This record gives sequence, structure tokens and C-alpha cells, in this order.
Amino acid sequence: MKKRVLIVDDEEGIRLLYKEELEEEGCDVELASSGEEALEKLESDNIDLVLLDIKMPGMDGVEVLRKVKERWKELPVILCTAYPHYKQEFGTWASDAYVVKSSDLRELKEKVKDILKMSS
Amino acid sequence: MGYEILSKVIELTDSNLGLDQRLKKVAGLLYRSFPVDHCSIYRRDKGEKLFKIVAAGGRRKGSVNAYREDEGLAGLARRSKKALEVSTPSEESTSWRGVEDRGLSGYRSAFVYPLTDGKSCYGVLYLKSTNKRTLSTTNRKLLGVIAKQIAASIKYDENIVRLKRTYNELKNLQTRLANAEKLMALGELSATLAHEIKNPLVSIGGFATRLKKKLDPGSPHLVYVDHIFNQVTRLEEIMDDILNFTEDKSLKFSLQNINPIVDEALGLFEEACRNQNIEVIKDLSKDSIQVMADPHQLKIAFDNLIANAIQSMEHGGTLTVKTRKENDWGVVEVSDVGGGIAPGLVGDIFNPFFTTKKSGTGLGLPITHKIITKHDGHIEVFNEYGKGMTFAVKLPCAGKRSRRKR
Repeated sequence: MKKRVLIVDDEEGIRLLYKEELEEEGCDVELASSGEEALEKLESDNIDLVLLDIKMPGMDGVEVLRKVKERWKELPVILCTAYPHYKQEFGTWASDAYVVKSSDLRELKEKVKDILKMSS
Repeated sequence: MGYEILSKVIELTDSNLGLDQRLKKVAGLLYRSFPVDHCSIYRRDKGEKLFKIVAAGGRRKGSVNAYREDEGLAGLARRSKKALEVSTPSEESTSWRGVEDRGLSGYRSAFVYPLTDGKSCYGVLYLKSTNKRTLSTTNRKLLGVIAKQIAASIKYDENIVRLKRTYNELKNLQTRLANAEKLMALGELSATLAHEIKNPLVSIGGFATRLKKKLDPGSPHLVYVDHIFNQVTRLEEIMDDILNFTEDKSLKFSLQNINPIVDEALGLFEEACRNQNIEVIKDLSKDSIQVMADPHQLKIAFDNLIANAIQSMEHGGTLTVKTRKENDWGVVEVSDVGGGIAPGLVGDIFNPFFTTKKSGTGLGLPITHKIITKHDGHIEVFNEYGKGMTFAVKLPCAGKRSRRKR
């Protein structure tokens, strides 16, 4: 069965880019443009992995991460952001991986494959 | 007549002339006003522990240029804080009550006054006569007051010098602080901008890559896509530089040998050097150089220095990278033959966004500087305009380090 990845990012371009790239890698992809929408999708859909942007209007990625980990402790989350220094923030320790956004998507895809293999 | 001399001394010591000039005039006045053949004033140099002559009047003979702090009558006057009235049995004799003083040669009597405010000794006053003489009580008292007045003017002068130095230091500090504030504001603005720009760049670059995958391997449009991708990559690097410079990373220190870190940094540039026809001379110390360091950060610092050197040699040249231990410092030297920069610009090279090159963000060296400073180290710059530059990074060796601040 195909793995389902939820991409949470307020930028449409990033959502589309990640979706196409991950579908090529053989994943099913769901999209959410905000933290609130992401939590709704997680309630109804069967998600194997969340790609989470940190800086979003409304609920930010760190808060979403905390809520996700409270409810679905085992669900892996990869944090994506332009800022390298979020790494040190307490709230982000709970994520399973941390990727600094780049137009070179190899690192992100490696981590996605890694985590999905680990949890299968 | 005593009051006249005193008022003249006060007038002279208060005048606008430089201190040494004033003391010269005082020495001349004293020589003329008292029954002596020689008068000299010595200032104490606390650093060198010497009394150095600054003014003399009358006979030249027996004039000593400097006394050690404990030497001769000068030393005795300093220790006792009292005036000495000395007479010797003959002109050849140079000792008095067991104290040797070269300056006694050629004289029969000497009057030596410590120049003191009661606490510190600022110098000594010598009056000497070729005849056997004593001073009248009035003259003795008068010279005592004059010695105090001279001491006060030296002390005043030293305080002024110290005040001026402190003032200049404060002014420098203020300028540096104002600069730092400006840079911080600039840094925050750049970081916000960099963040906003990075997201769209990821889309542009990412889609360019996708486009490339869809194109035929022989398609003439590949060139366009490559251009888009390369330029985006360049912009992304600039943005990362800005974000790296402005964020305040706390470093993770551990015991490290500098050599492999330098080696690894240098390895990244092998291809660039080959392409640019740059000969690499690597001279790393055989012994390990242990420092407390964040290896990742340190590598970034060396990367930047090496990249900087390579960029300065567009038409080939020689890149020299050396490491060595110097006393308690680990030294990494990166030299190029890229012509250096105009001497007036050297002060700016660690300022963010300053660059003399066509490409580059002007952030490489500031980042290096920031990293090295965080390691309690410093960078020395040797610029030979027309030839090239050497950057010497100095890091305190492990063990020497006092306390880590952060």
C-alpha cells in the first residue's frame, strides 16, 4: 500500500512542488495550507508522515507539532523551514527530522524515504 | 626673594607649555636662584622602573641620564620620602653614607628632593655644588615647597594624559557600539528579507529542476533551465549566508585538532583550484593542535577564508595554507597572491556587505570573524597591496583557555 504524506505549508508553490516530487517517489500526498486544516485532515485521513512548515500565519508549525505529538505520538513529522536556527527551539526537539528548505530537494526526499521505511 | 622664586616656579609650572618644557625652565630658574652649580629634574618611569632626566641647568659634568628606582641618592630619597643634604670629602668621591651615586663625581655637596605628593613619588630633584655648602633654613623650606609644586604639576600632567587616553578609548568604544547597533538593525532587516525571499526561491529552483527532468536530454531549452537553476542556487547561498550571519548560534564546543578541520575545508576546493589554475601549497603541522572548538563552525570559518583567497585569484596563482603552534596559540594561515586590496580598505573587510569582488555577498569574512571571535580567537590580516593577502587565524590552545563565556 502507498504511504500517505501530509504536506502543511502556507505557500502554494511549495505545496505543489513537494506534492509532485513525493508522488514521483511513490507516495500519496495530501495538502493543507494551515495548521488548523492540517489537524482536521489528520482526524479524517490515514496519514503516515507529516511535512510541516514552521512559519505560517495563524497556528505556527511548532504549535501544530505539539498538538500532533499529543494526539498521535507515533506519527512521524519532518519540520521544514528557511531558518536554520529553529533547530534549537524546545518545541522542535519532538520532530523526527529537520530540513532547511532548499530548491535542492534531495535531502528532504532522503529523509522522507528513511522515515517511511523505518516506520513500515 | 624666596617668595619671588616661588611665584615664578608656580607661574612656570602653570604655563601652557608642554610638561618637559616647563620643567626645563624650572631647572634653569633653580640653578640661577640657588647657590649651586647644577640642577636637574628626573621623572619617574614606573613601567621601566627608572628615573629619567627631563631637565638640567648649569654644569654638564656629573649629569646622569637615568637612575634605577633603587639606585643612588634618587633611590634613597624615593624610599625615605625625605630631602637629603649630602657632602663628600672630595670631588672624586661618589659615595655618601654608603650610598653610591655616579652623579656626585665632580661635586662636594648635593641636595636631593623626592618629588612626591606624600603618597606617590613622581621624580627627584638634584641640586649640586662644587663647593662644600649647606642650605639656609629658608632655602631648605623653599626647596621643599618647590619640590611639592613640581610633583603636583607632574601628577596633574599624568592625570591629564590618562584622562585623554580614557576619553579616546571611550570615544572609540562609542563609535564601535554605534556601528554594532547599526549592523544589528541591518542584520535583522536582512534576516527578515532573506526569509521572505527564500520560500519563493525554493519554488523557482524546485520547479526548474522538475522542468529539466521533463525536457529531452538534447533539448536546446536545457540551457535556460540550467541558468534559472544556477542563479537560484546562487541566491539561495546568499540568503543562507545572511541568515547564518544574523542568527546567534550557540556553539557546541569539544576538544578538536585543527589540522583535519583545515584539511577537510581545503578538500572542498580541490576542483575549484584545478579549474582556476591555482597551485595549492599545504603545510599542516605534523603535531596535532588541540583547541576547544565547534568543528562545524570552525570549518565554515576556514571555508570562507579559502573561498576568499581563491576568488581573489581569478587568473590563477598560489594558495598557501599553513597550520602551526605558536606559544599557546593554534595558528592557521591562508595566503593568496591575488594582489591584496588598497591599504585604506583593510579596515572594512570584516564589515558585513563590504566586498571588493564582482561576486560575493560581503558576508564570508564577517562570518569568519564572528566565528573566530566566539572561539576567543582573533584574525590578523597582512595585506601587501599589489601582491596578496594573508589571514592568520589564532585560536587559544586547549588548556590555555580561561573561562568560556558561553
